[in-house]
Amino acid sequence: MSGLGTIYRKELRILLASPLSYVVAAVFLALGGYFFWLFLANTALASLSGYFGNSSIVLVFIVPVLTMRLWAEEEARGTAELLLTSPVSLGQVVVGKFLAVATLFAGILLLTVGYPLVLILRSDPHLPTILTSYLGFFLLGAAFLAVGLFTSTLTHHQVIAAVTGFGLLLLFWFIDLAAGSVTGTLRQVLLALSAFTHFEPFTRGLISAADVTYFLSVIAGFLFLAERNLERRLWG
Amino acid sequence: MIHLEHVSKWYAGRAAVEDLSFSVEEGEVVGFLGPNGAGKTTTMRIITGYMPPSEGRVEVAGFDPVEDPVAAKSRIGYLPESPPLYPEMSVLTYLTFVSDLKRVPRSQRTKQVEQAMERTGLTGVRHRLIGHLSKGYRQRVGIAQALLGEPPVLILDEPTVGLDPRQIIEIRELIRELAGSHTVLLSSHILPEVQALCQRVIIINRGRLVAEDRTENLSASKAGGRLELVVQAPAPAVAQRLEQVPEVAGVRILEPETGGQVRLQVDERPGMDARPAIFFALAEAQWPILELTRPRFSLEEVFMELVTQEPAEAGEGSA
Repeated sequence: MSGLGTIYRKELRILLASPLSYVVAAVFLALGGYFFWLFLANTALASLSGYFGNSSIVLVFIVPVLTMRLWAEEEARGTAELLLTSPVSLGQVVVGKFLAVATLFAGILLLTVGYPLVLILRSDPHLPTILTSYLGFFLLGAAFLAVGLFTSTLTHHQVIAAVTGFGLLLLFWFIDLAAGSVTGTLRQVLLALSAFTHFEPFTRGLISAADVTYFLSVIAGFLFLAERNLERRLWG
Repeated sequence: MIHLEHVSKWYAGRAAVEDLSFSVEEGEVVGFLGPNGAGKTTTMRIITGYMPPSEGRVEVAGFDPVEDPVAAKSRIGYLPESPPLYPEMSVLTYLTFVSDLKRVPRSQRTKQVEQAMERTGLTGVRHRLIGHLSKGYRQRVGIAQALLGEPPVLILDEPTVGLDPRQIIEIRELIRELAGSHTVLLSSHILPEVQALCQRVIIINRGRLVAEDRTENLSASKAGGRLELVVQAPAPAVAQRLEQVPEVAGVRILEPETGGQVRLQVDERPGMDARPAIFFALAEAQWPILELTRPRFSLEEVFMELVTQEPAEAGEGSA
């Protein structure tokens, strides 16, 4: 059994045993239901763009709650000592944990399948756009999860991990706002860094290599930082 | 099997372990003793590859835990100071997870997990959640976990802490059973435990090695210079006579003359055995020796002596 698979299955098992996962899923789905209804009531358009737009902001708040315990809890429980004295690499630990929490997120996302179903049954929505929206939303969430996993490796206090995560993810959001009030190269740089700039085309049915690359880079970058950070803590 | 060469570990400018060198040979059971905060846990964490040393080299089963972590770690079973458990898992799930983590082949997994549970008396609680177990059982799960993957080297940090007396006896039996096929380094501050289990003892204090010897030598060495004897003779006279023996450094009357017998304590000069000379001296004077013994210090006394000496020596060094 590979180290990555072992860590992945263990982490998914613990996520599914945790009441917190269900609370997060319930909050996400309840707010999602509200956004779905609100957009339909206001626009009468058979589209999920309003739903995904609003839910992307909810992600900023729920992702750190999902990820805060990923490493901080291992430190606090002393199980870090088991993982780090076993023949698995830090890279396998980090990637295994990331894939597990991404699987949970994908599962929660799968539960929203009712919204497109309602649209299909009652109207004639543009299906490819719905599919690209889901893809974009998953990539956005996965990138946020990588950021949250990184902040969890900074501390053995889960709350500190979560607050740091909120901070970093809010920054992603505010970069977007700042881009609106500057011009020139700076505006281009800020827009290029903004997670929402790269997410928005997906909700209009557009998949570009640049946007996909952006999310994959954020994921790879923060997983790398998490791995480096664990390595550094050990040498400290 | 385990070799440390000039290992030091620094935390924020303070040495937790300083210039520590020792070896544990294959099949040995070695006790690692020291007061709390002496650096036992840090040393064990360095050996198991949890943290690298700041200076020096470690080798376990021929592999350096820093250079070749996977090879070294797969040969070590480690019970940390607090057992690394997931309370939301059942005993069986947890041990299966650890088997996978330690790369136990699928075909052997069930067998090894069953064996580990049997050896640690967990068979009856296999389906219980670890979070619902008592402290003693949790400690046993921690030990069971260390046995998985059949590692040749076992590093046990306070294996019997938190157990009741009956459980302590069971775990000691288990360690004795493992002794033949494993190399064991176990830390403890319970001295009789170390005396009962270990062939050799390594004592550290303030991160430094203060003594390293076979358990029986360590108890004998400190008592080397001291004898106790009961002689049928007038007390002052026999003391006077004994002081004239060249090998004798000092004499003390422990119990004054009762019924014509006196109990004395004799300190020998370093490196000398005064017993034959005492025998001839007292025989010549026609004073029969009723008892002559070399009292063995318990490890506890040796430990206290070694550990309490240290600050004084350190003080002299810096003066």
